[in-house]
Amino acid sequence: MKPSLNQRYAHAEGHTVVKYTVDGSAIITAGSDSLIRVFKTAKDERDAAATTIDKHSEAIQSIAVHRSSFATAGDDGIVCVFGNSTLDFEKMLVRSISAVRMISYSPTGSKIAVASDEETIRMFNVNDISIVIPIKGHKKFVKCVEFDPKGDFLISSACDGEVRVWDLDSAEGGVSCVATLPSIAPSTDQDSNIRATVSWRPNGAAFAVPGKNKDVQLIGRGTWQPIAVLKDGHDENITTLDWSPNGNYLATATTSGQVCIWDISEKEIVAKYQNAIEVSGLSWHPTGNVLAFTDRYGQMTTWEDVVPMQEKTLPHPALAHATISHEEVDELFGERREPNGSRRQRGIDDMDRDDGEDNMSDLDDFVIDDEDADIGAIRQHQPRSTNGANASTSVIQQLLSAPQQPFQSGSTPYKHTNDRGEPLEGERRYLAFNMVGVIYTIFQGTHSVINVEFHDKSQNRNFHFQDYFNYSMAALGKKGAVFAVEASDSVQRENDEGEEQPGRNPSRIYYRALGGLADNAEWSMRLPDGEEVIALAVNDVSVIVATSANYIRIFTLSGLQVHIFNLSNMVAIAAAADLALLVYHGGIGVKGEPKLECLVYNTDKMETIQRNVMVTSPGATIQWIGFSETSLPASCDSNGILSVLFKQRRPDQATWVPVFDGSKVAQERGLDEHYWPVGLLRDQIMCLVLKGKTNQYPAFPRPVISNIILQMPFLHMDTETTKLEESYVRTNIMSTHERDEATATSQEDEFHKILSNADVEMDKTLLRLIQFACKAEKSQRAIDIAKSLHLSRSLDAAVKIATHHRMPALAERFNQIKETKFMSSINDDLTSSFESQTLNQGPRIFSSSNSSLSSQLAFQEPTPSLFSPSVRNIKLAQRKRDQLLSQDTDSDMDNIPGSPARKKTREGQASPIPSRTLL
Amino acid sequence: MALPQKIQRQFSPEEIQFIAGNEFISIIPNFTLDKMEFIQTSYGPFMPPLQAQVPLWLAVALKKNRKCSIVPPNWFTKDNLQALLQNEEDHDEFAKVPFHYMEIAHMLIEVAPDEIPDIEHIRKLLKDIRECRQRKTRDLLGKVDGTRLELHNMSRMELNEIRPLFSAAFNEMTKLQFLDNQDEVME
Repeated sequence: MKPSLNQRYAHAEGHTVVKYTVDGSAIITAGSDSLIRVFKTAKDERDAAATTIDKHSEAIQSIAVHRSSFATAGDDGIVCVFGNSTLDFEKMLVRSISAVRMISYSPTGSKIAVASDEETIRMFNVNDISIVIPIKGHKKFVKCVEFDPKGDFLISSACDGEVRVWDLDSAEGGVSCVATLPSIAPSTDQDSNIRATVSWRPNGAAFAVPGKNKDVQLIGRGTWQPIAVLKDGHDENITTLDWSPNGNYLATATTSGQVCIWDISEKEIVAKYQNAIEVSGLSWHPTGNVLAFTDRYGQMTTWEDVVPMQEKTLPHPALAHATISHEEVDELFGERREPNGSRRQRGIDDMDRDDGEDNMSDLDDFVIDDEDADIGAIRQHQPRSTNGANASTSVIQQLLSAPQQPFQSGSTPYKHTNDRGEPLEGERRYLAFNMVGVIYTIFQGTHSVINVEFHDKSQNRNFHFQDYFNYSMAALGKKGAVFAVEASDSVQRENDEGEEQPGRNPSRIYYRALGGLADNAEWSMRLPDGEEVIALAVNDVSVIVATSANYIRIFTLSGLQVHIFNLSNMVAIAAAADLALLVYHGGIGVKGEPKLECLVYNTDKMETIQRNVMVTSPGATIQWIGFSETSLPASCDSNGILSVLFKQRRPDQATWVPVFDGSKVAQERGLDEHYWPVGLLRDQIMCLVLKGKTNQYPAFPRPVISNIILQMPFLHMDTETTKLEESYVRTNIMSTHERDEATATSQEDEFHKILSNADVEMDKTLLRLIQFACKAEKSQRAIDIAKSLHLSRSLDAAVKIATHHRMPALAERFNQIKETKFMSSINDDLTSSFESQTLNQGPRIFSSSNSSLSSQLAFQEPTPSLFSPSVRNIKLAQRKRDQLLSQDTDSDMDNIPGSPARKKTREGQASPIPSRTLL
Repeated sequence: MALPQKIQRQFSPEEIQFIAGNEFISIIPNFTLDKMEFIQTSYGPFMPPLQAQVPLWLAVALKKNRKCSIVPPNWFTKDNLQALLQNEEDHDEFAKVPFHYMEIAHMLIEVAPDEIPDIEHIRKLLKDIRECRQRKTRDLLGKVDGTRLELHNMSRMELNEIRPLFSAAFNEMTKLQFLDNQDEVME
């Protein structure tokens, strides 16, 4: 394949270096003409003229980049620092007496190490250049330095080919040399083009150094011994090398102009390019499959699709990071709760503060301090990460698969925030949005106002209150609302006794009962220091709170602490009736993706009902969890797939069944919209319709709740039979669940009529399917369907259909099925086969003492608000059909097949019965 | 009837609005109630937050008592009205509109201004649509010829507006044509 190259002139002939900015938005080049040029990498700006900076007086030798700034240095001995975004000259950091060969930023960006034409390496504090640490040991001029990505070590190479490793935080204090690798690299002179670049693998596990025999030596961390050699690839000495951002690949350049890309795991070259002249600078794009290099002609080349990923199924050079870049650490540890948009910003603030503290430390031990600050920064963020259990040991593992952040179902973030991540005054966000009502908070600067609004105002009155704790989480149940906030140390305020309360505000929970005046109960609890609320939910009997101490705390609605148990890495909780659905991280899947598990728990009897794995569509995250109105656990992922936990009360029988595909529905309707779930009915999803891809969350004023009919992702949904099949399977799932719930709560009698009706409905669907099968003369299919019929009289109807289609053998089979299925049962017209067979023989069922089907909406069949051009007509048609059917079936039941009356019509062969009966 | 002749020949706008009250519309009630039984039919049940289909008159009555929020019909959005106006301007024929669109729009804007997003814009669009259609109606007047007149897609209110003039004009034209024919016969 011809490499896709984009070449452009950058500098005058001579040694030219190149570096991507940390975000990859620009390429910085510098050359012997003492100019710095900044090229934008965005597609539309790529061909625009570069920004030129003229601050140096002689050839530039090195560029170092960090998050917000970059530094350059060259033969004139000065190190200049520039702002990344503005490209403004910030300051001149160092004026050295000799030419500077290489500079390197520490991972926090607080220090710069400088290798100049001297034996001593110098380390400068970026913010206070009076703090300098000389690092002495090399016997020849130093050519290259680089900081360890973890900030523990510094490596350097010198003209005589010696490589040294320096411990920045040694036991003796200060910097000491921990390893010397004499003449591992080829010896050169200080002006040679062979840069003897030493470079850490981005995960810090090893570093690469060009070897003597045109090879590359990989030196392991800790042992400081060669662990691998990349050889038989280069025809000349290596000038420089650069690791791909995730450390999977190493790019090398030689004096003959060869550029090679090495796959580190296989230790072989995966891509090669021959440049016209010696390549002097290399830099990988931080996120893309792009390599930029510069040569002695002063040309800058960007090589796209460097790694031929398609051809050889190779991993990406930058994605699936094994890198510990601090941006990612920030993102990972700083951003804890998605809906609370302020988190991420705060994380970065912490980092900056750490850097700032480090400036204030005094000369002697600033290195040590900085070290602490670095580690401290990571440690400080760790408790916020959800994968807290093994966070300290496997930072890299976490980075492989950023775990899903905890969330409250039905909450949204603030839309507009200031630079510090705090919401603007008057900003509002939803804390809870479900079938009972809505809780939203309005930020007022010093406090918030919390509003609770109900859909059904005849049962509960809306209320609002001033909230001085800025509650950030809430859950709304039928009996009460519960609020919670994490611990904070931002605001000092007076407590009830009028004393100043310095320090941290503890994390707290506040419950408020709904309804009558008599039980106008409210209570609040404070969590101890170091324990914070992560997620919470409320059902008809209890309040369930997950905390950062890996506890699940269960309170009764009156505030009695009734249970506590351990469950770590919580993501979300939903609750209904006396059940709770707890979703938590269960480790990492085979492809490095986060693996979620769920637990259905009875908060009244304190028993685990079901334990299962949460499954999302590939690459998606869970966005909503909840219970349907009939207490069926449900979850919705970011691709719009809604699944329900079928057979939740049967030990080890539960499976997640997809019942709705939001993206497919939107596609069918031809609209760019998605559905934000609010609740789930028997056959419909209650949701907010959000237009546009960017519109992630519902806004204010409160949008209208729409209901859309569920549809399982069956194949060939365009045919009539598949629609019937889907409808039958879905109704069967819901009906089986409802029967289980009724049994578990000992309410079979109460719901017998509703459940029998469901059987009749299902049989109607099945009979239509039998009719289709008979028409197509697929008798085996008809037999399969007949086996699922619930009522014996439905089988009679099936016999009639078969007879009508002149399939006597099939009719005989139907009769046999009827005999085997219903002979044993005494009252065969009323008892469904399901009850008589499956339930009685089924495994034990977990029972509940609270009704889980008591919702008013549980068995409602509302008209869907979408897909209904004329709802009324459909209704009327339905009513007529039902009337017809009931008449027909009633009269038909009297006529046993084979009776004289029936025979007449059969002989006549003119009977339109089946089509009329069944449509 | 004791009403003046002129008024007898057409409905008053209030009467038409009353007739439009039988159109169905979705509401989200904020109270729970079983089916409301009426002589002819029943409406409901009302189970918030589920939508219920009720006639417009009931929706208006409930809304006035703050017992529900009205879900504006699909055509009654900024985008759809914009498209309708565009269609109206591009073609010489009348665009297809709901038969009672003016009455429904009027009632919704009157009772539920808080539930219609971009209400000012919608008001302007409705005015534009109406003006555009009125212009077409005037053009139509020139085509009255006494034999036949095609009035597709006209709404109830518009028909009512033109009824006295058009029917009178039509009758006169027919009379004239009849005379014309007679003249021919006489000759």
